[in-house]
Formats: sequence, structure tokens, C-alpha cells
Amino acid sequence: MTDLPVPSEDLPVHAEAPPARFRKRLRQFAESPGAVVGLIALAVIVLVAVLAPLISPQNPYDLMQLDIMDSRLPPGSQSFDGLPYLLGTDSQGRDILSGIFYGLRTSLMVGVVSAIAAAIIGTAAGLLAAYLGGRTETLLMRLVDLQLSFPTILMALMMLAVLGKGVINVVIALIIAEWATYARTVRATALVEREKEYIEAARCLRLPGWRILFRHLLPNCLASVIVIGTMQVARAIGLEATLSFLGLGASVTEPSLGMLISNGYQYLLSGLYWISFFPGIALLITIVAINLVGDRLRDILNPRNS
Amino acid sequence: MPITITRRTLNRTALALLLSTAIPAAAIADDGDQKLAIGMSTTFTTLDPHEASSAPNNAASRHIFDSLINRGGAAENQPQLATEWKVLDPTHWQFTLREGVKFHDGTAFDAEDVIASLLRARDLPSQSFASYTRNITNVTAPDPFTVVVETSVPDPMILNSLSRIRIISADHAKDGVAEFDDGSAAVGTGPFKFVSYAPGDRLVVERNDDYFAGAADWSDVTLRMIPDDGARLAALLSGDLDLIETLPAEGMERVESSKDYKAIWGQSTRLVFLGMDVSKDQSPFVKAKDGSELDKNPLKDERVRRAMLMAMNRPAIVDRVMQKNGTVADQYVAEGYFGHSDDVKRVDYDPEGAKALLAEAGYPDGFKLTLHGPAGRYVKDSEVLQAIGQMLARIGIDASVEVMPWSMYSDAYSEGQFSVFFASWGVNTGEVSNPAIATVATRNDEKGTGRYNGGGINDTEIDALLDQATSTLEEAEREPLLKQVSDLTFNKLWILPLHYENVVLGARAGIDYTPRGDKYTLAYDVKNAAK
Repeated sequence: MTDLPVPSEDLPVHAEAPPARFRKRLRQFAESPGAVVGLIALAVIVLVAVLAPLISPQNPYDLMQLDIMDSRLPPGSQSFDGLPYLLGTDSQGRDILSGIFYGLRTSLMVGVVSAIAAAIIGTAAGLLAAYLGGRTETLLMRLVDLQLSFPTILMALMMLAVLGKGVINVVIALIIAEWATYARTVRATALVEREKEYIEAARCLRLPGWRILFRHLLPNCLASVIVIGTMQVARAIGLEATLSFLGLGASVTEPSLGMLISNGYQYLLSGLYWISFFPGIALLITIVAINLVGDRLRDILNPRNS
Repeated sequence: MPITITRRTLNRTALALLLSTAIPAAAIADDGDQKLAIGMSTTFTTLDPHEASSAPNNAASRHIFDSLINRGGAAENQPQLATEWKVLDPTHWQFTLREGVKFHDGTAFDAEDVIASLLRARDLPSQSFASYTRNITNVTAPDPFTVVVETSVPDPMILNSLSRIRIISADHAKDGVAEFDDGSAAVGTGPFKFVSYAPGDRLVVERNDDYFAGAADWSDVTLRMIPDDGARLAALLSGDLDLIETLPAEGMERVESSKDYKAIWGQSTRLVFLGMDVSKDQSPFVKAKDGSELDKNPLKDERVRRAMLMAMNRPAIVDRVMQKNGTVADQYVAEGYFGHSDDVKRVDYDPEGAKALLAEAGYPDGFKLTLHGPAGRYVKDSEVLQAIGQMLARIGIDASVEVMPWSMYSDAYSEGQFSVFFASWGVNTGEVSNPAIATVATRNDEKGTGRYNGGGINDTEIDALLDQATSTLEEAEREPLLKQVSDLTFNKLWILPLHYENVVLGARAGIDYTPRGDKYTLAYDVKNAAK
């Protein structure tokens, strides 16, 4: 953001042509090998999650396809009809590999949906607070302070206690638990931007408030939103796993990664490591990949670095 | 059964013990007698046997005190301090007392002690034994070895109630918790004498050599309270304990693969079953496969219920899902318990037959239902329910499974909010009237029946039999009535029996013990296999 934005509604906020800017950013991104590995891993994970119904050996959510006689088989065992259970089975005879593929769908869905929804709500609140100031700001920001003073997991647990369990309710709980982070960051950024000349110019042109908010202020705050957003996806996935582990998340017959881990947890000491281990690894890789990408994005999009 | 113990057999046993396994240093230093250390999974709170009725308290007090009636491992009523009893009239029972029994302090036992104990249990302010004593209006003694118990109403459960009330010495009837806990009043006629008691930690007792039923196998017994599973298991493996309650699942393999230790399995009286909505014309969680309402409730059809039970591979459930922590059940109580009926036939696993029966009932393509259950309340509850879901799916019933915390589940299921629900009843009385009145009798708040009849079962024949059984005192007349209740309940399949939960103990080699249905662990019944 080296370019000074021109306060006209018809001109783009950034003077540089988007394709060229995108290529530059991509080059910057590729400078970090860790981030590239993370991006590739993330791409594979997303692909696997999207294609899960096509590539899974078994539909782990279809009780018809599970066989209790195949329960707790070690990795590499054969099923009754000859298919191998590459990563073993859990106590219901569910193929762990298929369980992970389907579990990633739930985890990513919960992570992305809750992060986006929280971003929209949080950003709107942050912008309003910064732009309007006064009583609105005080009210919104004290609410944010209040919420941030609770640990996120406690917040989510309280929400689930009220809402009841289920994937949709987990998403709602995560949105409620996470929006405050966005609101605080966006407000801080917007407060700085608000004082800049282009906003003043826009005001002088007597542009309507919503126009200044969304066409001028918002685009210049987006960089920080994207950075927190990426991190929050990883956080939300971790939180969903925690909530499922505690038995408050997904339905028992449609396990997410957290629930797969919790299913196997009680068998860890008897040597049946695979029920928890492989879903745990999948969760770890997902979160690390998203964080690697997020870290790099933060480095690139940070105005102080460019 | 009198057991004679000679010095030589004792010494030989001690030697065998020394050779076979690690014994705590204290035992080796002993002069050759046997010590037994038991790890209890729960905590008992007092030695006053009438202060607080709970399974751990009542189990602990049985080491020091006896009752008029002994409850055997299968809840059968056996003579203990009473040698025989008879019904004088519907509200009067006469008990003949055992002669020649002495308390640990040397005083003789007679009717005065019985009167003092029963009245103390009834009148203590804690009222913890009220459910056993509330019908007792008076206790009198025509002579020193005869006692007559008068009840306010005809009470067929009086023997069961009396088996819960420990007999203390009349000299200590005025004493309180403090005197019992410091040992001064903990004077009974039981198989062990008080040595020391550290609340929350341990009770140490020594053998009563003059015990009327024969002295115990152990000279010294320590009951340690170790609620933590890992710590209890570790104490067994390190040789500090000889026997532990509730062997944790993670220790099973460790214990079973070693020749120095073993797991001891027994069947508890806790029956786990599936309840079903058999009253509503349209059940809330039963739908056609396309999600539309069915014109009638299929669960009301006995053939559908039978088909569902035939679809369940229950031996596989107890073996694979519960990891042998259960025994397949067919009725309220297992063989040997009061009211068990031989006419209840096991419904075997037969998926093909189940499909045919379902088709015959008019559901060739099955239907859709939701199974509800608690999570973490019973042994592997949610996993058992999922396995049942799998098995129902194989005969064409699309089952989804919903589990919830017990606090949310318990009221909802007993009030009948679900269509098919996971339920359980611990048959503490060891006979059929107790579970039947709670779970299959028609709901009647005035009579207190059917409080857990979540399926809305309304079988007038069963109700009549139960009414009759609860006012019949002679066991010989009562048993056929309760057998009929078992027949009707489980041949009509008002509820689908799944399994009895198992009791699992861990022990070092050389210990023999038969677990009891009520899960009490009694040192007197622990046998020294080396003898």
C-alpha cells in the first residue's frame, strides 16, 4: 500500500493493476519454502475433503457399510470382502482412512464457514465502531473486551450448553466466540485509516457514510482481516476438534476428526494406537499447513514490510 | 460350611504365596498368617452401619457385622443370625435366632440386640435406611431367641429389607458415628474384628476365629479406598494389593497376559435393554424412509419388535463392542434369581428371519428411526447403540443414533419422549418385582408404578400379576407370579433385553473369588486358592 489512494468512487483504491500485483505477491509468497509446502499440503487436504465420497474406500457415515466384526483391526488388515483397512478400524469397524477423509470435510467446513461468518460480523462491527465513534464505539468495544476476557473454549462450551450439540451449533458457537477478535483488529486498522486524507477527501465530497465505509475504509482494512481469517480457520478447526473430543460436537455416527481422536483415546493404553493416532496426525497437518500459509500471508500483506 | 485351618496348612500356604508372587514386606515379616489387601473403587463414609445406606458403606459394614438374613451372591435370602423364619399372619413375621453367637467383645447375642438394631436403623435422624425400615411398626421378643417383626402393611420384601440391616450390640445402640468410626462401638458378630479405620483411606480388620460360619481364610484384611483407576491398577501390579475392584479396561491386557495376575469376571444384576414407544399411534422418531409420517406406529407390532431383536447380534456386541464386559440377557434376572423364567426363549441372531418377519408385518422395505441413548453412563453405551444401528440397517431399518449427556437424557427417556431408547435397571433386590414395577407396569403415580416405563407399556395382565405379587408373602406363591411377569414381558418383547453388565475384578494368582450380583466385594468370600 505504497500508493496513495485517490478519493474518487470510480478509481480503484490501488493504482497498481491487479494481475501484476497478484504476480508480485505470488513471487513474494514463493520466497518462503515452508509456506509453499504448507500451500501444497493444504491444496491436497482440500482436494481430499472435496473428493472424499469418490476416493474413500468406505462411506463411514453409512451404518450399512460398517461391520462390528471388523472393529479395532490394526492398520493393513483385510476386511471381510477383501478390501484392506490401510490405517485400521475403530471400535465400530469404521475404516480410519475413510473416517479421516470425511472428518476433514466436517473440520474444514466448520473452520471456513465459522471463520468467514465471524469475519463478516467482526469486520462490520469494527468498521462501525471506528467510523461512528462515540457511544456506538464504546458499546461495541466494551462488548468485545468483555468477550475477549473469557477463554475462547469456555465461551464455545457455554454456547453449546445453551444451543445443544450438533455441527451447525458448533459453527454458531465458534462464530460467537470468534467475532470479537476481528472486531478489535479491524477497528484498530480503521482508526488509523480514518484519519488519512483520502477519507477526509471522501467526506468533503459529501459521499454517503455507507459508501465511505465499504468502498474506501473496508478495502484498506481487508489485508489484516485476511491474515486473521486464515489463522482463525486453523483455530476454529482446532476448537471444533476439542469440542467434538469433549462430546459436544458432531453426531456420533458422523464423526469429525476430534471425535475420531476421542473414540480411540480410551484404547491408547491398550496399544490400539491407530484409532487416535492417524486422525490426530491429519488434524496436525491441516492446522500446521493453514498456519504456514497464514504466516506468510501476514508477512506479505503487512504494510510495514512492503 | 466349617473350614478347619491347621498351622501346617497355613504355613504351607504362606510359603506357596511367597514363591508364587511378590508379597508386601509387611506380609513376609508376619509370622506366617495370611494377609489380604483389597483395593475398593469407591469410598465408604462411616462404619456406623445404620447411618448412611450406600453400596460401599453396606459392603464395608458386612465385614464386621451380620444381619438376620444373609444376601447371597445371587441375592438369595440365606439364614445368618436368624436360622429360620415364618409368616404368622400377613403383618407379622417370626424369626428364630441363632444360639451361641458371641459379639467380638465376648458378650452373647440375643433378641435384645436385634430389637435395638432394627429400631435404631429405623429411628436414626439420618433416615437413610427408611426404604427398608418404613414398614416396620414394632419388634418384640417372646423369648431371648425369637423375634417377631410387625409391619404396617403386608410386605413381601421384608426379608430383603432385613438383609440390609446390620445387627449391632444393644450396648452400643446409643452410640453415634464417632464411636463407630473410632472402633469403640464397631463391635459385631461378623467374620472380622475392627483394628483401625482411617476415613477415606483404609479399614483394617482381623479374623474372628470364633465366627459361627467358620473362620475366614485371612488373618488380616485391609480394605483400601482407591477411586483412581490407574493408582488401583498400579497398586495391584506392584504387589501392594491382592484384589482390586473394577479392573480398568487399559489394564485388562496387562493382567490377562501375565501368569501372576488374573481378571475375574462375574455378572452383575444390571440389565441393559432397549425401550420402545408402544403407546403412541405415531411415534415422534419413527418415519417412512422418505421422511413422511407412517400411518401407524410399527413398534406397536410385536413382530416388528421381534424382528429388531433378531437383527441384533448380541453375542458380537458383548464380545466385540463391550470387550467381554457384558453377558447376553434374555430377561430381567439371570438364572438362579427369584422370578427367572425358563419359559423365556432366547431370540437368536437371524437377520434373514428378521427381514422376513418385517415383511410379514407389512414393512418389506423397512422404515427410518432414531435411537436415543446416554453417553458415558453405562459400559460403552454409545458404542453399543451405534452397533445396534448398524445391525438394524442390515434388515432395512435406517437407524440414526443420537446420544446425549445423562443429565439431559434421564428425564426425557423416562417421560417417554423417544421412540427407541437405551435404558438400564440395576436389579438390587435380585428379584423380578423391583424392575418390573419400575419399567413395565403401567404408569400410575399414585401407586408409584411405571416410573421408568418410557415406552408407555399398558399390559393389564402384567399389572394384575404384579399387584398380586406385591401382596403375597409366601415366596413359594410369589415366585410363579413373578415368573409369569417375566414370561409376558419378554415373550411379548415389551422391552428388548440386551445384556447384563459384567463385574470385573483384578487379582493376583492364588486368589479365588466369585463376584456378586450387587458388586459388593467381601473379604470373607475371597478364597485362598493355595490352601
